[in-house]
Amino acid sequence: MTAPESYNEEVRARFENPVHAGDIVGDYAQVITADVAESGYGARLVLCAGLNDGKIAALRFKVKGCPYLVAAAEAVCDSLEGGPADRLAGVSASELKDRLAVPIGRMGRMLLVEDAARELLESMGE
Amino acid sequence: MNDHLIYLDYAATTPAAPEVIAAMQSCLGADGMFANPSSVHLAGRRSAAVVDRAREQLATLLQTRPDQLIFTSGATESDNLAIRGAAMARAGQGRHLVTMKTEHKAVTDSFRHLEKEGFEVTWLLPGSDGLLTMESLKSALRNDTQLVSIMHVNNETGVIQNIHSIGSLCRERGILFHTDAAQSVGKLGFDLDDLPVDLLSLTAHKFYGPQGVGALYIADRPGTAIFPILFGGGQERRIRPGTLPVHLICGIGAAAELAIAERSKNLERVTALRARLMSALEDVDGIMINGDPDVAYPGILNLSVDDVDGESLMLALEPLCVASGSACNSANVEPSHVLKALGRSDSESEAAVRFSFGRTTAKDEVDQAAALYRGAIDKLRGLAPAA
Repeated sequence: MTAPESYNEEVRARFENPVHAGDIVGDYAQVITADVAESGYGARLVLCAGLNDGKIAALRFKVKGCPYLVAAAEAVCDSLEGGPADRLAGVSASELKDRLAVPIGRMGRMLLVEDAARELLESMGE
Repeated sequence: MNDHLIYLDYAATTPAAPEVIAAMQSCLGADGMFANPSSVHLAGRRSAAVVDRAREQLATLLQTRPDQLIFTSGATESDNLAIRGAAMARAGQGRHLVTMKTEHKAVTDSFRHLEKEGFEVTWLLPGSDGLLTMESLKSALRNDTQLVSIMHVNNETGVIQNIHSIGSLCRERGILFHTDAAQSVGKLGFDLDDLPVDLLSLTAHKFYGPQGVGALYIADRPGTAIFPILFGGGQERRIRPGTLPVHLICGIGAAAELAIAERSKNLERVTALRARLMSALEDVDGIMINGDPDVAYPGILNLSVDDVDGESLMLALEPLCVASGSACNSANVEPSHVLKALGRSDSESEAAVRFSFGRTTAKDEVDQAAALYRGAIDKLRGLAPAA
């Protein structure tokens, strides 16, 4: 029974206080949701955006997964909320991996975040 | 231990007791009993006397003769020596071996290596309570079975196997019986002269001795001879060569003596602590106890839920130091093979937490642990998407 490895300060801080965790509350011109899961490991991420005038007025997440996934979801919500919706296209699994010092074997969790952002972007056009 | 940490991982290792540290210090340094106990000069003979005394102390704890104990580096080495040494010594009589899927990796990996070398291993499963039934053991035994290895107290669930019945059956059939007793020596009473056990592995650091020293008991009876797995000297009856670490051996002796004095009190204490924790957490939604607590060593309590991520649970529990039900590495999370063998799902196994109590565990630490566990489960369930 090996203990989990060390996490960097950002992972710890965002895991400890995921202020963007939860549901979208309030009225928005458009509310879009992405629901992605990693088969086999039970990890799942739901990303939900409230849009007004092409901007992400609110971005929230729900997650079941490792601390890296929680921290990555929180980091993405934190950085994109309040900005233009097309910034969703810039969410990059490899950037998140570097920033959060994610072990290469957990790259799949970062891809979940990237996939969720892409799914949101695609939903906007529908 | 850091003041901010709540340590409930005594099944992983225990801190060396002050009496043990003092005894070991008497062996270190130029004025200590540092000489090689194999040396024939006066200093060597003095070190040898320290080793002899420690062997007697350990034999007293186990209620057996000191000449049946071989010092090793710990339970992992003892398990390897017992299993490989017995299999090789009896290979000419048969190549069938029996063990359980819920054994420690030191045992399962030893058997897997033997499988690669042409031995046939029957892997027994316990019931959902963690116990091996005598019926399943009986049905596994064959005319060519040479060795059965079943652990005494399971390191993850605390479940106690009936090694007396298992050993008796093995004796009737002329089969060697080995038990990994790393979790029970120093905690439960032993009378090895009365137990039908041929080989028994133990380690000091599970009962307040130092890390890096253990022992293998080899019953002095016909048919128990085993082959060494290390070569290079005549120490420990040529079964385990290498210069003896006098200070560590002195430490295991002191720990054994202390265990005799503390055992009953400790058992009472951990029984009360486990009951306190079980009572504090019994109403957590979906909580499961792994292994039947009625047949388990009360110093261990293993709990699962099935709807949170195990790795996140461990981080959310900090500063509580407990063991996870999964092995995390950089690539993935491997659910506990023990809990899987008990019939738990991957998610139940990954989210398992083993609490284990020790001599210095206080009631308020158990209360804090319960509060941290509840808080962590609530937090992670709050983060999770609806099913």
